[in-house]
Amino acid sequence: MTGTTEDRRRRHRFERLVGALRQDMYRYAFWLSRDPALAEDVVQEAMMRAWRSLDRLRDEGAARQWLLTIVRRENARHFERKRLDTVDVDDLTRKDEGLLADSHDTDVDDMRAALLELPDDYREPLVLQVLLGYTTEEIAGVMDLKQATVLTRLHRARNRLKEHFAAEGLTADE
Amino acid sequence: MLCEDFRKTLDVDPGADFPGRAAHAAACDDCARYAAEAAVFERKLAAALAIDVPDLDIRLPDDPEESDVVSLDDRRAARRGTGTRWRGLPAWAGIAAALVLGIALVLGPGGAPQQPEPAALAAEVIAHMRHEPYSRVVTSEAVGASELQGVLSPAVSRLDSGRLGLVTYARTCPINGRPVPHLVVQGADGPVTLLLMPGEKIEAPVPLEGNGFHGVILPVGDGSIAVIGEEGRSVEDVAEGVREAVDWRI
Repeated sequence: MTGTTEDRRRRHRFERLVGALRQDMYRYAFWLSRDPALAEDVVQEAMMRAWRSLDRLRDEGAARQWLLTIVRRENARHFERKRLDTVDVDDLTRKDEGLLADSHDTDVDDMRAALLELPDDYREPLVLQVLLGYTTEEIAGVMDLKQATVLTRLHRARNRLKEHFAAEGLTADE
Repeated sequence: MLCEDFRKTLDVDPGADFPGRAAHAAACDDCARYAAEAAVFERKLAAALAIDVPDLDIRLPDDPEESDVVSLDDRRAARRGTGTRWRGLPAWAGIAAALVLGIALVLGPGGAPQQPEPAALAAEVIAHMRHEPYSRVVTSEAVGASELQGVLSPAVSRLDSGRLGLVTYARTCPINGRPVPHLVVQGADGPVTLLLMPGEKIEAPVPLEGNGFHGVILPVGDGSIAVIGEEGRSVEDVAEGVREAVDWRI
């Protein structure tokens, strides 16, 4: 039913909860999928699912984690459905050259390229921690891992990035 | 604490304020240098992760019970047929940003909000405050000079901590896709969070209220500084001094 007070109230609630979280949802989706167009689709689909299940969200303070969990599931669903061909990082880098070179900062561009080469299992906890501000305990909850595993992956992720820069003869910390 | 443990902990979370961190860094030059380098690395990491976000064209069904979500394949086909879906910011996104968390807008002379951007910035700031609650503690343990410098550079060329107060937390955090220094200082009425945002220019102060927080975003040169405390606590002493305490590098 459209235009009713109840419907307007529901939309208002959705917009209030979700409006400020669009950026987080898109960035998370991008770093999960490594594909800007797919990230956009995943966010759209996640928004729709969130809209349909909005009434089940009782604790509005949990909206962020709720939405990001939906994004994560939507991304997984997509890959399960499509069983996508293995992504060639070199192809991806070329395809997303515009994105990777978007910062006008070669250090940042180099870091993005290195991040795209990280295994998914290492990249995701790093995104959740650095970009989204999650604690290791929260990351463990989102990824359904033990906290010790999260700590190990974060440690290895950073080391791999540093090794990448060392191998390339670049400096990411100067 | 052993150097190896210190460095391993930093590799897991360079912004963590773990017991003994400051004392070990003060006693070990190599580890202090490692921490400073880790802070620089972390800023670049945050900047790299904070990719630009397109204006998403989010469409909701007219009816909440409307049929299943359109498949990705269908939408991809639609995109191929109609070209790009990147469009202007949907009206609801701006409205949501304005409404989120009970933020009070500063009204212009005509009684209308001056710009949508300050509201969106305020929403981003308040959303960020949900994180790192452990930073907002009463403590007399100051952040080390090298660590603080690592967080401030390259955004800030000068921070007069004498005018500002004791800085007890420093970390680089993303706000609107930009890495910014996130500090906590000990104010007269409790811990006060500062977000130093050199790229977020506003024309007038933007009060922040709601979700248990109270504060203001102040215009400072070509940027702005958010000053936020807990609801019911005064941040005025910090807010009064902060404009004079910070110089942007750019």
